[in-house]
Amino acid sequence: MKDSIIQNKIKKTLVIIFWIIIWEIIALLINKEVFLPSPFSTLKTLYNMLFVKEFYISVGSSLLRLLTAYFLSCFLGIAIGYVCGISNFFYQLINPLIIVMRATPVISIIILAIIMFHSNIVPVIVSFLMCFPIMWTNVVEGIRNTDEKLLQMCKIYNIKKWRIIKSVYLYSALPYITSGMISALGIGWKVTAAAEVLSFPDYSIGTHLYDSKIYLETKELFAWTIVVIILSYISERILKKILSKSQNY
Amino acid sequence: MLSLQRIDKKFDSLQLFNNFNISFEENKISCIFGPSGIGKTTIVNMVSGLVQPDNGRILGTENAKFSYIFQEPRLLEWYSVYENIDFVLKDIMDELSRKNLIDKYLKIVELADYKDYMPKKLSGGMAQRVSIARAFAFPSDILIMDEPFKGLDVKLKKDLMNSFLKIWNKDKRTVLFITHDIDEALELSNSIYILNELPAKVVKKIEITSTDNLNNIKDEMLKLF
Repeated sequence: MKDSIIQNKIKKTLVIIFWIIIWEIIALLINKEVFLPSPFSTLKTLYNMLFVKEFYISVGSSLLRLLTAYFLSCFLGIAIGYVCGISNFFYQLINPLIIVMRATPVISIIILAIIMFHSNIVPVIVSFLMCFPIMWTNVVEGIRNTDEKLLQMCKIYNIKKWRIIKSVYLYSALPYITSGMISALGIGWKVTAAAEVLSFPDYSIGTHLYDSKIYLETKELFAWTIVVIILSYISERILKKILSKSQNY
Repeated sequence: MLSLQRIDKKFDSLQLFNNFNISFEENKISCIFGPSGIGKTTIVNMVSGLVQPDNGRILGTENAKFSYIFQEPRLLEWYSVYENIDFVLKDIMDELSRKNLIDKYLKIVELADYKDYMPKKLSGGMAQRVSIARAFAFPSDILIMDEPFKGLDVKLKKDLMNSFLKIWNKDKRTVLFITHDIDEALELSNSIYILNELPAKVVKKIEITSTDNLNNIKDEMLKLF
């Protein structure tokens, strides 16, 4: 068992090394850092960034924005989704709004938010508007997919409505809620970065991405992109660990 | 008396019941016997209020409390065996009475050692026994059993049937019981309603007294199919 885990890790590392080699070869062939920096110079840039205070302020600010938007989407998505899953009236009321939110291009939302709000909170609003519909949809679907047979059982035994809501609907929707939370987190990171690029708040990862583009610092662009990928990966791992503990049956 | 009067019920284009009448005696075990698809489950679902008839009326169920052994266990997967039974009792009794009752019935269905198990860890037969314990433990006026012993091994089925009779002899609740198994029907019931044809009809009602010769009744039932 343990051997196979180690073997698996070795395999994964080899795959990553393989793709880094491919990257290196292509970079060598192009031989222009502006178009494609080599893995080595990207990592060196990333390493140097770690010693600058502003790096941590920027990462911290972006993280704060993402988490604010994310928790707000999760909280409201679950609360409103729950009500809409149980009540058809509220579903009909909220659904058109969600359809519009989902169909609107991210870029339109970003531009509109830039016009209407302060640049520091634009990424929070945009990220919320992208994550909330995902949470809402998953929660509604989870509630609506509650096994009819279990509800019949509750009816027979005359279970009080609030206990059905707490003990049957909530648990039935749990797998849907967790998968919604995982996909919302990934999308949240991407959208936060995109909104930051366009609204350039004082401190943010997106502002650095924008600056790298302006000054044709492709190495930095790559380095900051790697930072987003790593942060997104780590936060997803943490989330999955927390969720798997809460769903241990 | 618990009775269904002049019942009409259609599922899509299938007229299951047309001016159908049936009456069950209270505090007796009544068995509904007949081929698949004749509407046996629909009858008990109408009695329990899970299904509404298109026309007709149901008498004798006003304010009645039900418990139901479904064809499948219908357990909450996120609750343990104990919690599943506790779930249906919580609104009606205090914690200590619940505990005593749950322990008693888990012992009867031979699952006392499994009370902390999650349903996913149980075999199909074990899960069904939890559902049986839940239905017995719930203080209902009417107990509905839809093929409750299906899929259980012979010895356990025999034991559970004996336990059922023992429990029933104490509280004598009204029991509606569906089965395909003639021996089961003969052993447990006070009366057997034999259904056939479509729309469904009670083609025969057999009262069983302890002095009856069960083999003769069995032959009689077999002749009807």
